[in-house]
Amino acid sequence: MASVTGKLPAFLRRREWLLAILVLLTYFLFNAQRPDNYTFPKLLNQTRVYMVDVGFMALGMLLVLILGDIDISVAATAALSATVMGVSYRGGEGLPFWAAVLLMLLTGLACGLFNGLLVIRFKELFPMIITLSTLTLYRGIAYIILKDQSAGSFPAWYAKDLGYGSLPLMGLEVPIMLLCLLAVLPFYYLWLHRTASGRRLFAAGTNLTASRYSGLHTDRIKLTAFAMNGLFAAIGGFFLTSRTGSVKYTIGTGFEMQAIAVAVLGGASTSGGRGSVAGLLLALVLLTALKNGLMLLYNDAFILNLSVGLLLILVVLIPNLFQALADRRRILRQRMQLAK
Amino acid sequence: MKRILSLMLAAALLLSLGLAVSAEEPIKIGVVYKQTGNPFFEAAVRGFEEASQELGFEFIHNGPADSSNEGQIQIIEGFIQQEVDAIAISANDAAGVVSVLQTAMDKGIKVISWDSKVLAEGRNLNIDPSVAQNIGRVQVEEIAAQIGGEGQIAVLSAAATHDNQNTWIKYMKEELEKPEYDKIELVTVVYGDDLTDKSYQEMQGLINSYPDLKGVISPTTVGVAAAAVAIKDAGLSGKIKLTGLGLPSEMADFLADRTCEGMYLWNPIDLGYVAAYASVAMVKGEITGAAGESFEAGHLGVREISDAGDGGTFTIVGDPFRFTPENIEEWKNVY
Repeated sequence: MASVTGKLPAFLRRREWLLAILVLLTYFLFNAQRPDNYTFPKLLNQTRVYMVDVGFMALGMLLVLILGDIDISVAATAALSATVMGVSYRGGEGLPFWAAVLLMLLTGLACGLFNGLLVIRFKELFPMIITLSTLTLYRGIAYIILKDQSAGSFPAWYAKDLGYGSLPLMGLEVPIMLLCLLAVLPFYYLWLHRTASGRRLFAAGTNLTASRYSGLHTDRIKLTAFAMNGLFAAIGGFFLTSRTGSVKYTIGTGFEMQAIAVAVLGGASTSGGRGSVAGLLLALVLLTALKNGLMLLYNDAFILNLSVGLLLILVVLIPNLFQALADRRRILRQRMQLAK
Repeated sequence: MKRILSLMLAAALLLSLGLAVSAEEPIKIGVVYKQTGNPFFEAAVRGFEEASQELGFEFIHNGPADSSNEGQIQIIEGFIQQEVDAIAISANDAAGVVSVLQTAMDKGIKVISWDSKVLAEGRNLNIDPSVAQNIGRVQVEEIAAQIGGEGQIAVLSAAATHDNQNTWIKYMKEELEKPEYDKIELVTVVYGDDLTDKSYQEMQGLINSYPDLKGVISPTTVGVAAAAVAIKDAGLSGKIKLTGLGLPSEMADFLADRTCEGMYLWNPIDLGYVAAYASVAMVKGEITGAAGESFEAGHLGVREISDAGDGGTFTIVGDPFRFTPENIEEWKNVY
């Protein structure tokens, strides 16, 4: 394995190629099993279920992962933001809808900022522990606001047209919410990979201490990343709620794991410094193709979660294992040469 | 070239064969329930199985692992993708699946809710297990008799978004208004979300918060079983009386040791059976789901459809049946 990968040109060894191949494999495999129902147009329609809300959350998560941190409170942030929106709109009797949405985004931003402040203030604590506590805090506040009730009765353009509408493009029906995600991606990409402030994220993630001594305001970078993560979580919650048409404090439970899985599958490393927008998009497509196919084949909710685990093992663990083996062999060989 | 041509011909032939077959495809029903691994819904699925053997339709069934609304939407989208002819659902959130079910109805799919209804704008017909008022009334009568007509009681429900629960609790409260229940005080309604651990904790909370609590009504199979365990664990069997809607198979031990002295349920197999017959009648165009129509539900006879009072229509399956320590033996292996 090592010798094979060693001979491949650098760009072919990138994670994106592995993901792209897996996407094609998955597609053709399930398409052969279910030629009537697992087709490209139908899969495109399913992107609203598997891709968009998790996608936005993953975009935020990527920023935090690049820094070598983690935020497991994103789904709770989304739930709290959606709760604030539902309660302030109050089925048309409260604030106007645009104001409720604005309040929702601000809530997400505030949750993210609070996470960021805690992370830079308590450097001795793992962000995992910090955001574990804010996870229960944010969902707890959502529970205090809504109790066991649900809030809903949103405008039709939101709960129906945005949640379930699609636009005809090149003979295909493309979900509007997918177009929203795709519209954001180029800007996100350009900012992250092509601007100084985006590159600083990678620098800080690769070596925080070195970055600080080189004059980067690492605390401010961290704060920005966490705040943006909160904002993206709220946007994810916005799209999730457009599909459910109703908010409960439990909304989006477990989505933080999906967001992390997408970012990590896409090439982000939890130790920081690495992450790719193209990889993230491919990981989203792969998970959509895989989960939808499994759903059609097995009609079993449990198998979907299992599939994510298997994929992580296949794409992240195994290559890492091979890398570690190759490294060890290289060291052994060098030692032998030295011994001679 | 020749090979490509013959391949294309073969493909065309296969395609036309496929089309010919699809013209006579059996009716396909997608069944969605609140959660997987819940014996109540497993019994309901047996009702669908019975009906499918009699009527010859196909059905697929699925429920989310976490009894979430999002999980049900995911499943419904999958059923739409598989071009089912009807969707029969017990909804986790009466409002939360309306939009997705409307897109299903736009595609010509019939939507029947059963057990826990979907709001009227998101369904063609609702199948209620029993007259909701009766379900509320019998449980109040039962707990009143058990606690001797006096003292504090509480309700341990499933989720506040479950329409069936809310309706029954509403009728319980109405029943409690009657003068003969003046000395009974309903102190609170708590929600265990049909999760065993949360229901257990909620029951523990009730025990701690209300030391004078005399009785608990839990109108959900998951809740009543968890409550029985919590009461027994606290050593309060017989001191805090318990009734509700329970599955005989799950509650047999607690009826035997008198943690619960009487509870109710209807036959979940019949519930699935009637929902299946209704779905098929609707797909065949024999009924549209309008009030005044009726359909044949196999060995359970004719069902009349009437106005549900929420803008939609409904029909019922049967009456709630009382399970006691005396008769539980003969039922515990049935469902």
